[in-house]
Amino acid sequence: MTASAVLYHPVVVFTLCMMAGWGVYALGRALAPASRVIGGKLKTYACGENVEGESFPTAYHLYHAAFIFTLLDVVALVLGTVTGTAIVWMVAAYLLVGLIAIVILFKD
Amino acid sequence: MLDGLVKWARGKSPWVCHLNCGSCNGCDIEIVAALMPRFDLERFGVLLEGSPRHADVFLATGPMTRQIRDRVVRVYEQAADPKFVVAVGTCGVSGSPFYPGYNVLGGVDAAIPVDMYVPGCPARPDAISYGVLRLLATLDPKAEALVKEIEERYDTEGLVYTPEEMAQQRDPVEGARG
Ligand code: SF4
Repeated sequence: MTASAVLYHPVVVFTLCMMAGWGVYALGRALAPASRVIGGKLKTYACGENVEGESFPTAYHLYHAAFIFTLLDVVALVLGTVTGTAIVWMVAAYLLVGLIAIVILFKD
Repeated sequence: MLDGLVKWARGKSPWVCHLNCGSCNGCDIEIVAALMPRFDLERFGVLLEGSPRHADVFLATGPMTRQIRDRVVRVYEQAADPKFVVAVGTCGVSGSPFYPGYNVLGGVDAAIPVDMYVPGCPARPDAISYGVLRLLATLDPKAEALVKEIEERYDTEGLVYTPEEMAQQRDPVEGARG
């Protein structure tokens, strides 16, 4: 296995991206002053209103179209960025998971 | 070194969030004018931000009313530290002319701490820009030099007050009312 093959391996690329993201987060964390949790600091921001979490609908009944679009979008992205035949089974597994998600979505 | 970097970044990109506490909209329009190309606050890195979660400076207009007080406090608490507040307009400074109305608690500082006061009904856009610059001068030495240059060239007397200067201004009024 050549060095570039190792470097471009999806797992390595994913790990590097995760580390870059984590690095930016850690830098921000180190530079920011210590957080003071006062009053409603951790509450959902709603233009100052004191909203209760329970009052929000958590079901996705209105978002079927958006959900299926996102799923197919990600599937298309995965298919479009497949680099070799070696991970075809990964794509197949991903499509299967996507299919299961769509079935669950429209089950009711 | 990191402290210097943070200070530099903060002084170069103070994001502002506009907070209307009960204003007649006169001061709000002047804030928009201060951000528009003629006065162009954006050349100092100032950016108008919709969410207080991303903002460093609150531009607060209007008197502090009973209805808005809790909401303003909540929004202030939800902003990240360090945060600054500029009270814009005579209403934001003292609640006047609506104070002491039945629903008016005073100026913006009746609910949250204020770092700079910009009086005027409405506050002039150049005064708002100058107020924000004075605030920046506490963070960025270059802004300090700019403030000094402005003060040499223009008459800035009474345009902007720090909390200490405001305390001196207020005492005689309170005494007269008392
Ligand atoms: S200071 Fe004047 S212009 Fe500004 S909010 Fe009050 S009444 Fe309106």
